Amino acid sequence: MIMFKSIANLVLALAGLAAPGLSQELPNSPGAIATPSLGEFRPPPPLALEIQSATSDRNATLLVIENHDLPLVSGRMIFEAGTLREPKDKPGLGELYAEALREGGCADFTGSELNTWLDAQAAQLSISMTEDHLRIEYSCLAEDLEATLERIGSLLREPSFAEQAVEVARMQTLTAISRANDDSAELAQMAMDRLLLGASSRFGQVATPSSIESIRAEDLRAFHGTNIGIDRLLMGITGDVKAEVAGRLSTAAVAELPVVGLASPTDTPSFWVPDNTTIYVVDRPGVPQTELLFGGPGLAITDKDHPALTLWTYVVGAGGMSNRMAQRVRTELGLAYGVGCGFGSGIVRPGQFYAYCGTRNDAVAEAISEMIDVITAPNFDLVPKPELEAARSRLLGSHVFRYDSATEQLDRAMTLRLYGMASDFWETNVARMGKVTPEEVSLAAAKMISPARFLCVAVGPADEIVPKLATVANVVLLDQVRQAADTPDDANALVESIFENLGGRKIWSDLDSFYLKHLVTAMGPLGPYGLPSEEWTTFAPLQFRSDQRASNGLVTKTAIQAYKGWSTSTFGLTELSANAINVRKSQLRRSLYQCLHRLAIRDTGLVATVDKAGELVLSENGNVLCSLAMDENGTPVAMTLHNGDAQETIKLLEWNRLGAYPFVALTEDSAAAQVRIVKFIANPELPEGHFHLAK
Amino acid sequence: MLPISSVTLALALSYTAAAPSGLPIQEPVGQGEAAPLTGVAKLQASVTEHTLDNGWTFLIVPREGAPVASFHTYIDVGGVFEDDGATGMAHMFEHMAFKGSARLGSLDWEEEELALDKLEKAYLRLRRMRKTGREGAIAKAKQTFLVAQKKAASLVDAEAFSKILEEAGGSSSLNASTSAEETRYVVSLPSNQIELWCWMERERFHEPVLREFYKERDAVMEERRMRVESSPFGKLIEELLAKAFTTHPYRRPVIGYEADLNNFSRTDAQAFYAKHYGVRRFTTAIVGDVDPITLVPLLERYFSDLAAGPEPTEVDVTEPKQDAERRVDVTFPAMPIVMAAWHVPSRSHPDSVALNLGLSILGQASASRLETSLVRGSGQAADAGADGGLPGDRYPNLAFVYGIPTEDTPIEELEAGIYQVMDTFTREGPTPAELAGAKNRARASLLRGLQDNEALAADLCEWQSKSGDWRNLFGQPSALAEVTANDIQRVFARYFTQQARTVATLVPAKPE
Repeated sequence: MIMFKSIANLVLALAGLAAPGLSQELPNSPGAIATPSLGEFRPPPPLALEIQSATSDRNATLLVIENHDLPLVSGRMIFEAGTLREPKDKPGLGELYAEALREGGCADFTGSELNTWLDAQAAQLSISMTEDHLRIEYSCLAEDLEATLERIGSLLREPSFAEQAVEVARMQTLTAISRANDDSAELAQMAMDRLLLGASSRFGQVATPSSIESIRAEDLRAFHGTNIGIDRLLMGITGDVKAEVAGRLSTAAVAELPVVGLASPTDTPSFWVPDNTTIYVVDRPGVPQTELLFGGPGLAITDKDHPALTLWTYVVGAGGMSNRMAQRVRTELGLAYGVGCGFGSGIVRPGQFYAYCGTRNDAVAEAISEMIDVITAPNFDLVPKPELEAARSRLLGSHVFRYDSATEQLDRAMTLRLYGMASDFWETNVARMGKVTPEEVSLAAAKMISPARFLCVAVGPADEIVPKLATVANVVLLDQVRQAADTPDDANALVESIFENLGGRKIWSDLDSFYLKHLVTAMGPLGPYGLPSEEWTTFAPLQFRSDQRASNGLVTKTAIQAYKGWSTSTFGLTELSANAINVRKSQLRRSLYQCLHRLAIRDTGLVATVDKAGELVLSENGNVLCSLAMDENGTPVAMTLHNGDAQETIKLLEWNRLGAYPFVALTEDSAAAQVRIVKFIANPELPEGHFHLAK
Repeated sequence: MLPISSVTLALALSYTAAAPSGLPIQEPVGQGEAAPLTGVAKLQASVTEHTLDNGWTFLIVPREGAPVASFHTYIDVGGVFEDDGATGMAHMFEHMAFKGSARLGSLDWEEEELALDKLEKAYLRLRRMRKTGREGAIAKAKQTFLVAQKKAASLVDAEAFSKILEEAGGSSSLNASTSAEETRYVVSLPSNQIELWCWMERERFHEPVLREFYKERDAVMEERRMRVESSPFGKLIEELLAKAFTTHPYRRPVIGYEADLNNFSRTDAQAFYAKHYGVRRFTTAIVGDVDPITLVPLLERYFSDLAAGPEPTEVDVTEPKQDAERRVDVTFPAMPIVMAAWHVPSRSHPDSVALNLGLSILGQASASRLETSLVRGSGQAADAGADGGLPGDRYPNLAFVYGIPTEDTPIEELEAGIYQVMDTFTREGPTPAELAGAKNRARASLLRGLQDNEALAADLCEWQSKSGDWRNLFGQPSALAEVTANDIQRVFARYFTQQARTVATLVPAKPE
């Protein structure tokens, strides 16, 4: 330690500086301060070691960054085994599995003995689940690394999933489900996932008390056996350990793990947005503040528009206090403490658009209006260049902090490995952000945001906030966040009669995609004409393609995949707007086969009721999608599509059957145009890229 | 999935800043023998201390690695220094310290200064009218106030202060926090922005302009609604403190009571600044890619002329001894929680070391007594834990336990279960393995805190301010090493008595 006080004057004299105080003028503004060049900082990449399996030729990889400053080591083991790979009928299994693995012990020690040992050695161990991965993180004194890895290895090789540990984990999960109702932000996010991503989709479904109760220890063992193998493992270690030692100890810990094979591909989310801006209210009585949350489709980090959207995020709603939304809603209006918006970054799948704010109950309408105004402004006006440059500085100026510790460097390198990204991805991405223009920012945001179709959740006392929110947009009160209301008996009876007449529930439950070939006949100016057309649709994710042949032989193709859409014409390939994509998706969700499938799988997001006319009415998130009229045998004979106040009825004139599946062979709409379906294939095999049109 | 965990609790307390566990973590491992902490001695030797003539102390730690530096200014001003009727002022001032100065944040200072004076007069008149209860006069005064507020707002270059630091690289780290005892201002920047930080920090504390005061006060009220009035733990802790302390200012919420927030003025905030923000109460740690040889002259140049300020006054209030159990039921629309708290001495008291070690064994370890008995054992709790330093530890404070019952467990049953665990622990004392583990965890905790620039800067400031010497962060292991199982039994028996206990229970509101 230097006692600087005593030598300060000497140093000052040596440095040739004036005595301290005001005798030397200070710069009169920050701009007058000379900023030396920072120089390039590029930490060396981690060392990659192959960890040999003891039983096969499959290996795991270990990344090591040595750092001998302090006698500590921290590490990660990441398996390709996330919640997206849990059985679809057991939501919550992944998190229960992680907790039971951590607490359940193994053949060598009980969970209690492990905790006692960790306490004694001051070591830390956490096991958690993300959508894609099981993530084990540990930290220990360097001298305890071998013993720590030994114990983690034992847990992974022979986990007990002891009954008591499973029950404790189950009890904690059930309590957490109940407690979620005490947290406005958590309720809002849960409701948003359900609405935006679909209550029955992998991304929107949430654990319920009954789903947690149904999970048994053997389910956890099965999940472990299917997913935890050396061939699904990436490890990382940083700290006071030599790389070769880290490699040897890691090999000893995991070499005996089995080989389980490649992970199955996971879904891509399909986003739903309402036809008109709609606010879904979750009632939380007795609190003085309402939590507002907007949601919408976003982009993956690898998308070409992602850098522009990131800049938009920094202009409008993130990166400190000097963004538009914080300035307007918090600083100028005092409506919120925390407020912001932007586009989250997904890596292998699209992220989400979000905007959030907590405001007093009597100010909800003003806050929502102001937020929408701020969000939509850049869609119409170019971001002024100085403002964009300021946002770019906020974004890129802090980039160095993404590499300011060995742990950060390790995590970034592991992400590249996990997702098979180029080793220079982060640098390339920064370079792309450095070049984004104001035009690109505005265009990218306009493509993603439909100004009249915002999806918003409000969590607060319904009796206070609903009247105020109704002055701003459509308002729908959500009965329950986790589960839809029970289907009434009369609706259940109708649903059962439909399946009885259409080949049974099972075949519709198994239907996840279909192909149609049809001929539209209508009266044109020169008399009747027919247009042949082919269509492909998948339900989860919701994808669509049609190839329509014109009389001159040209084929017009339209396709939608996730949040993207394309159309070909004589002018070439054009990208569909977000609005056009959402309109088409909205139509697809009303389609007969999609509705039959959702009824068959008892999709909790689809609510069935019976109206006065005896028709089966299907609703989602409080909006009527369609209604079905049945003949006396229970066979659907007409379908009325609802779109807000607009309705259109389609007569289902003939049913036919090819193979196991009955299908509608002839329809007629209200304009008397008929469609003859000549071919229907259930669950067709589709080539890769079928829903992606490219030049 | 851990359902509630202490994270929720920490969030509920977070506007009171990150309170340390209070463990003097410089102590050794094992059976009283001090093991050398590799790397720690080197780090300690690299600390440069420099105190300006006005009393502002700087601690500088050069570290190899990325070209970044973390700046942490710690000021011995917190909620305990507020006057009755002006609770929340320390925290409010923290918000105002981002509003700039005459030359930073104004579109036209001469005009804005006049507008701010006019606005303040309008507010003070409105405040007077509110006290009269004359509705017509209130409405008129409010209209005048709103017009003046709009005029003043039109002259503001909004967020100019934050903008500069954010654009210099501080967008993800620029922040501040206020607790019962201190206020902290933090930012991390690329290391070529050190002089900019000096310029900005001087501007912030030299002659701050408290512009946009009343709009920011609205934002603070939203913060209160979020952290206290809509939060089960926030509400419970506020009521617990108000019940446990009858005299000491620890009884008041750092964020302030709603009535006070609605009442205090910009003039009050300026008076608070003049009284408490003398730089003799400042400690700043700068950790990262810095060189003391060039940095110290810069600090002298920018900060040496700032006023030392009045001699700080300590809180001279002694909480009367509690001689009977106190209880408070907090009705709130949420599921039940129980917290029990006991009066314990300040961190400088010799008993605090044994107390904190005992609390670590009782309610912080992976295999803590509470977790083992009530969560994994009887299944009565979804989560249970213990800690000290509520709401601070400079003065005699509270140690507490909390329990979150599982679905079918009555809250009274869980409370009784907690006391049973504590009684057993007090009667039997910790096992040798538990005691050694607690000491080992304290050592590892020190090491983990040293890894990160921001955490190290925060720890150095805190130890400098609260113990008078930053070296105590690294200090010698004598006190902790000497703690025995008997010491823990003794302090638990002494402090955790029924008559010194205050219990707060969150009772779910019944649907109307």
